Amino acid sequence: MQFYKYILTFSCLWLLSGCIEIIDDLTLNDDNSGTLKYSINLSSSKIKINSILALDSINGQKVPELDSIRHQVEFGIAQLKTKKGIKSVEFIADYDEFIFKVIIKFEHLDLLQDAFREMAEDDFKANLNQHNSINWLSFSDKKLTRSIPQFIIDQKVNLDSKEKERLKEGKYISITRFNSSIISCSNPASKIAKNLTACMIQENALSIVQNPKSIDNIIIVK
Amino acid sequence: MRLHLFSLFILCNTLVIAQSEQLIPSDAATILSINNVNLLQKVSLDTLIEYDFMDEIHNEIFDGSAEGKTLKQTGFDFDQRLNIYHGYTKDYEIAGFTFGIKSKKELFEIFDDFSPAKNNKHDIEIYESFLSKIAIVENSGILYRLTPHYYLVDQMTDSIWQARGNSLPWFNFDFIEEYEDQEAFEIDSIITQEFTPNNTEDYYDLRDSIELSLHHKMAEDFEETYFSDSKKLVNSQPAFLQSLDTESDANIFIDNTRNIQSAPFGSYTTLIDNVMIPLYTENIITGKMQVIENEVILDLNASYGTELGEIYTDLTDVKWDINLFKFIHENDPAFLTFRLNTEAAYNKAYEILIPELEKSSSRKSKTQLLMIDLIDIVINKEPFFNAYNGSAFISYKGIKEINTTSTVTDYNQEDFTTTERIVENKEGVPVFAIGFSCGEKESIERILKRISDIEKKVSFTGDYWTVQDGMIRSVDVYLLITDDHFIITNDEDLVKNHTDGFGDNSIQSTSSKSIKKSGVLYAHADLNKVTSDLPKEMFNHHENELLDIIREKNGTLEISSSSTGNSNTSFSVHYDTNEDKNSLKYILDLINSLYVSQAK
Repeated sequence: MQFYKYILTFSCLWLLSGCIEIIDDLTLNDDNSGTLKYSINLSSSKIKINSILALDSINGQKVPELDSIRHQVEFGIAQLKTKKGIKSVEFIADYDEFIFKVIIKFEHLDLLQDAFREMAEDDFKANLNQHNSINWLSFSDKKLTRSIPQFIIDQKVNLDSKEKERLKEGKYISITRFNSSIISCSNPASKIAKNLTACMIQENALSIVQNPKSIDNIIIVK
Repeated sequence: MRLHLFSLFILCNTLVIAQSEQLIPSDAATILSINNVNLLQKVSLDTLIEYDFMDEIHNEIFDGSAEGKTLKQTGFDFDQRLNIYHGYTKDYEIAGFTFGIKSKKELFEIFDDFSPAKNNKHDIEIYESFLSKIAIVENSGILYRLTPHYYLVDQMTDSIWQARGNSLPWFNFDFIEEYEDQEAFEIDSIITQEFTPNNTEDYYDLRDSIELSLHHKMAEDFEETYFSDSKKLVNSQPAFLQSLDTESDANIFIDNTRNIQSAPFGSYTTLIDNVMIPLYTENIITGKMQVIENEVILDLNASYGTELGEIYTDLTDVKWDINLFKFIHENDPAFLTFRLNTEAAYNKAYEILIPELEKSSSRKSKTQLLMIDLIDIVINKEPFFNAYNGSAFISYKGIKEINTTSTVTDYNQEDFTTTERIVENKEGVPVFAIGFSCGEKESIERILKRISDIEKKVSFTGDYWTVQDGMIRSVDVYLLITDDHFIITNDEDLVKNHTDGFGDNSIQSTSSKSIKKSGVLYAHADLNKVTSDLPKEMFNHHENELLDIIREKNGTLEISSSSTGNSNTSFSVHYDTNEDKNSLKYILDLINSLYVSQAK
């Protein structure tokens, strides 16, 4: 099963189409359980995406067919549901508007991370081993550390200047929510909600591709 | 006396041209000969090496040693042609270039990573750098690089790897299925040396070793026949030498017969083996290009064998339907018109191809014959070929913005909860029209009616049919059927307001004479209007490389052809840069696109 690789390949094509909006919304309870909502919104470039999907390949990369994307994503979601600590997975896909949402409820943040890691191990065997012990999500002593997994960062994307310009139009939004009030966020781009229970970082897609650490954050709560 | 003068003229011409081109190997099938290389002295090496057709040269010299130098300082002799060549044999791909040498010292300052190679030929100097070699004969040189076909390397690696008791690192069912019917190709004769990789070597190390060994063996065999038996293109293909002249700025020579015979996997496909190869005999394209002030003129001549000539002749044996062209607006940035007699071509192809397929005893050929005969008997050919028979056009009408919607997310500043709302958007799409002569209005309408009964997205609205979201699942496509014509377009204005064509605003009045004079095709493009706005996303990589020829350029491009004869058709490409002085860059772009379309 090449779930991540498949999604990454297709995401690169999506990224090249320009106006992409990715929202990664993590709600964490005091007992380390919570909900991760991940959504990809490409509705403002649907003509470009449909054009790309009509091609056999773009920039030397094979363009997957919509049916096989659907099949692979659904297979991946079904796999995720079987992982230890995953309470439920809901997948909402609108293939006309190109808006995709996954809502994952989990028992413990560590188990969520393990579930992702197990799936990634199937795809990135050779690359993942060296980073296997590195956590990209951890919550202990009222301190949450977030970053982008190394195996995702390792998937290099070569972009020309026009593609870089287009990527600037894309947005990546990372939101983290708690039951308690936030004391501090290490990332200077962080914004804290008025009610102090949520923290948001918004970056353009190019910044994330060029510097994946730009959305790393350490959040301390009461 | 006149005969003597003529002989002297031929001799002079031969003396001028008989240098670097004499070194092109007989395996080369696509050659670009850049004549009067002074033209290129105006270009810096850095600019020139960006072109695909300079890849071979680029790979060798763009390693820092050429920085800041112009072509003039590279040791090349500009009184000789620069010939860039490419070709295949059953075993390898060969590419490189031949050139004149003025200063060997300067030449090897550029080719600084080449060192003398072992050589037992006293009149030839050979230098090597990893997989590339340069041979120098008198004052000319050839750079050559052989690459063994990857499927030979793969098969040999798999065989050795499995013989050692290993399982393959993958198992590709598609590959096995595709090639299970192929006859085994002989690899024993290609490689003679033993592979003794150590136990820790993995599959890919083994593959690299095999590739390198094959390369050395093939290069050795190539040199033996190239130098000892003088396997040069000028000896094996006299048409090449005839295609060169001293007047043109560049010459093109493409031997399609050998390109088809020797292309990778070419000989393993039943249809290519049994039909294409026998048909593509004597199929050669030659071309001459000239830059005259702000005009670039390319004359191409495509010659072919009798059987293919008969098919082509019947295919174009139909009159232009000038009335069709009233559907091309005079302001359309680009259009292509052509004429085809599909029924005559089908009958001729059937007459020629069936006996060729019958010669084969393979099961695949017999199955193909069964399918062809079944289709021939079952199909009602008269209405089928009447549906399209005669003239056709494709026109590009520019980019049009269409209304779409998108979903945006808003955030509540209190707690960052999200809400979604729909907003209106605009996206640009290319607008086009495709039209052809059609004598089966009723049959086509009947079929469309049946389709619309089961498919809601197809509907009839008075004068035309609409296929909702018919183009890239987002843009409506319209079908307009008149008594004699069938138009497919996404131009709403055409089907709503111009069902009888554009009248005085069509190209009928301006271009019909040029179209009538042309043989099989005629094309016109106003490059000022066309392509800088053509979205790259709409085309694949190869199409984009070809489109790059007209992107971001000025002027007009006109392509016409002669009538198709039994043995040849000529084509003329006329590019007027409209007083833009950058014609040199345009000729290089044109050469590049032609090279890309042939060599890849």
